[in-house]
This record gives sequence, structure tokens and C-alpha cells, in this order.
Amino acid sequence: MFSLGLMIFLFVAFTSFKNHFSGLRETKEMLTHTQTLLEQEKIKSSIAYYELENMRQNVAMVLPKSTISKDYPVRMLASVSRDSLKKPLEGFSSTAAFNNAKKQFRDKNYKKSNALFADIIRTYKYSIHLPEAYFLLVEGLYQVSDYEKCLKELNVMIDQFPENELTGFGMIRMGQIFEKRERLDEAKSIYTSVLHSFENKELKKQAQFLLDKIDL
Amino acid sequence: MKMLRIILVFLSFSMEIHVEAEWVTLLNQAALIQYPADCVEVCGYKTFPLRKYTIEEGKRKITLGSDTIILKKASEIYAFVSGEALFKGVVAIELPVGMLKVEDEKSLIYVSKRDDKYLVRTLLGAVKVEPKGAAKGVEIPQGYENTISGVIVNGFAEVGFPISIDANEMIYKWASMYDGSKKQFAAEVAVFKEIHARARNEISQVYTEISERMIASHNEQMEKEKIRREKDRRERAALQRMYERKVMGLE
Repeated sequence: MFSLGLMIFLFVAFTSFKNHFSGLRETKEMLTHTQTLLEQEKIKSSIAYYELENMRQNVAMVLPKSTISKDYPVRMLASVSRDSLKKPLEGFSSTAAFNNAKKQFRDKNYKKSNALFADIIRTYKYSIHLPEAYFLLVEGLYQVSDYEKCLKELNVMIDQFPENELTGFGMIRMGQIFEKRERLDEAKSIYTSVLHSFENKELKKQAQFLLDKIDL
Repeated sequence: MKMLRIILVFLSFSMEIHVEAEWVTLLNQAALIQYPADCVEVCGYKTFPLRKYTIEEGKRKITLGSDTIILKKASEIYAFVSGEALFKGVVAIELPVGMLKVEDEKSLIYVSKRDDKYLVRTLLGAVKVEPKGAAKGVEIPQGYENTISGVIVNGFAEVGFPISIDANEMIYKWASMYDGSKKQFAAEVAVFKEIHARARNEISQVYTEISERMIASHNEQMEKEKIRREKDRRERAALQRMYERKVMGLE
């Protein structure tokens, strides 16, 4: 009984004086103070970031208006998003260039149209207008009687767009050039090739007609 | 001897529990910290993580959620810096992307920062939003939520499309920030649910109208596309005829 009483007394004494001698209270106060300082620093940095964000938004608000000026660094900053700066690019699209060249071809300005089509072929290698540009260039060269160049371009056309109907029309022109040069066998072989390679009825009919004409 | 062992085991457990309890108390000693510590006019307030705090100024009540920072700029003007907060009463809240103005004493609005956007929910009453750089402000009616994001290329802050409040999420958050009695909270939630139901009804009508308009616009676009294709086809056929004339006619 005495032992139990002593143990309880020691336990109560231990718990009462433990904090007094361990320095836990001081450590706790120090930790609380440090934590308070840390939180104060967090407030300071968050408010500073808030002010920075506020300023950034104010700058963004006036920036688009200032891009009208020719100040290069400012324009560069906003260049990715300015609609007005994108507009001049429209003039450089292959469609615009192709339409312009086609207009010259329709007006029978073949020399000018040939130069423009050659330029389109060189500049826009992946344009959807490329087969048509080649064909109109071949046709234009034929019209100005530049047969050498015409044959050269036709060869490229046959290589690159063998299944395109326009290549068939081009091949008819090729046959006619050979006929003019008295190379009838080669012309016949081309007409036969057109006859067997393309589905277009008119194209087949014409190739057959020209073939029959040579045979006569 | 057996008795002594039992006492020793009991003592060791009691001491362990005692140390744990002291640590928890230490970490959560304060709920709010203000900066500067002795500020009067302009004050920054921050709540500790996992704690909330309600600032009361007359009829105005501002409840800050966990780890939230606001800055008091004048008697009715507060800048919302980060976290989440509930504002009750007349108040003007400054954001980097604009200004929120609440003019009704009974209004209760929730503001939070999510990534680069500010989310505003009107639980009771409406709020006027003045996006930075915009000539005109917009109103968020009660029961709706909207987001405000940074200034875009047009030179003004972007305000999203209003939608009815995500009630499940909001009630959960509201409950965690509420400092009144359970009964009082239940009564306020009941009022909010009515407002929310009305807002949801309205927004469903708006969405129906928008989707009908979109369908009509899509159909019109399809029709235009059809006409354009037909025009293209005719143009191509004319061009084809021209090529045929030129080549077959041996021009």
C-alpha cells in the first residue's frame, strides 16, 4: 500500500515539475514566435505578389493600345496576339498568288502568267493548287511556243502527279509537240498511254482521235 | 509486483498521450495573424492552415477559410489576396483582375482563387463585377457563380459565363466556414436551396435557348457550306470545260 502511495506521489510530482525543468514551455513559446514570424513573412510575400499581379494586369490593360505605335520591343511583346498584324499575311497565301496568276492566264498574258506560276511552284511546294499551277504553266509555255521548257515541266508533272487528270491533258500537249517535231512514234506512245491511264471520257476520246490521225 | 507492472504500463501510456496533446495545442495556438501587428487602417489578415476566422465590423462579417489572406485597404474596401472567404454585408472587394461591389446588407458572397482565376459565388443577393479595363460592368445575380480571369488581348479582364452554383461543394465549404449554430445554418441553407433551385431553372432555360441557337447556326452554316461547295463544283466544271476546249480544240 505504501509502495502504491509512493508511486502515485512520485507520478504527481513528476508531472507537476516536468514542464518546469524540461524547458518545454520556453521551447513552445519560441516555436510559437517563430511560427508567427513565418506567417507574417507569408503575408508580406503574398501581398507583394498581389501588388505585382495587380501591376501586371494594369500593364496588360494598356499594352494592346500601345502596340499601334512602332516601338519594336512593345510590338514584339504583343505580336503573338495582335489580330491586325496577322492581316498582311493574307497577301502571302498561295491561293491569292494562284488567283492572280490565273487571271493573267485568262487575260492571255502568258509570259506574265508563266513567271507567276513558276514562282508559285517554287515558293509553295505543298500548295493544293500545285497540279493546276503546273498544268497552266505547261499550257502557257505551249502558247508562247517554248516547247523545250514545256516538255521539261511536263516531265516533272508526270513524275509528281501521275494520276491527276490535268497530267492527262498535259500529255496530250506533249504528244502534239512530238508530232510537230515529226517524232510520231513517241507521240503515238504518249496517246496510247493517255488512253490506258485515264478514265476521263473526253480525254480518251481525244487521245484516240489523235492516235487515229497519226495512223492515217 | 504485478500491481507495480500495471501501474508502470499505465504511466507510460499517460505520458505519451500527454506529449501528443501538447504538440497539437502548440501548432494551432492562433487562428488569425495580422500584419503589421499593431495596424489600424491598412491591415493584412491571414488565417493559419486548417483554421477559420470571422472578422466582424458592424453589420459586416468576413469569414476567412483556411490559409486565406485578405488586405483591408479602407473601411469598406478589402483586397482579396488568396484562399477563400465569405463576405456578408456591404463591401467592395478588390482583385487584381477587377472589383466586386456588394451593395445589399443581407448579401452573402463567396470568393476564392483557383489557379489564375477568381471564382465568385452569390449565395444571397447580387454582386456587381467591374472587370479591369472593361467599359461596362456585369452583374452576377443571386444563386449564380462566375469566374474572372486576367486581362486578355482586347485589353480587359475576361468574365466567364454565369452558371448556377455547385451547391454540393458550396454547402460543404459553407458548413466548414460557418460559425453560428447548426439550427441557424440549416435555416440559411434552406433559403439558399430555394435561390439555387430558381437559378438552376433559369440557367437551364438559358442553355436550352443557347443550344437551340447553336443548332440553328450550325444548320445555317451547313447550308452555306453546301452552297459554297456547289459554287466551287460549278467553277471547277467551268474550268475543266475551258481546259478541254483549249486542249481538245487545239487552240
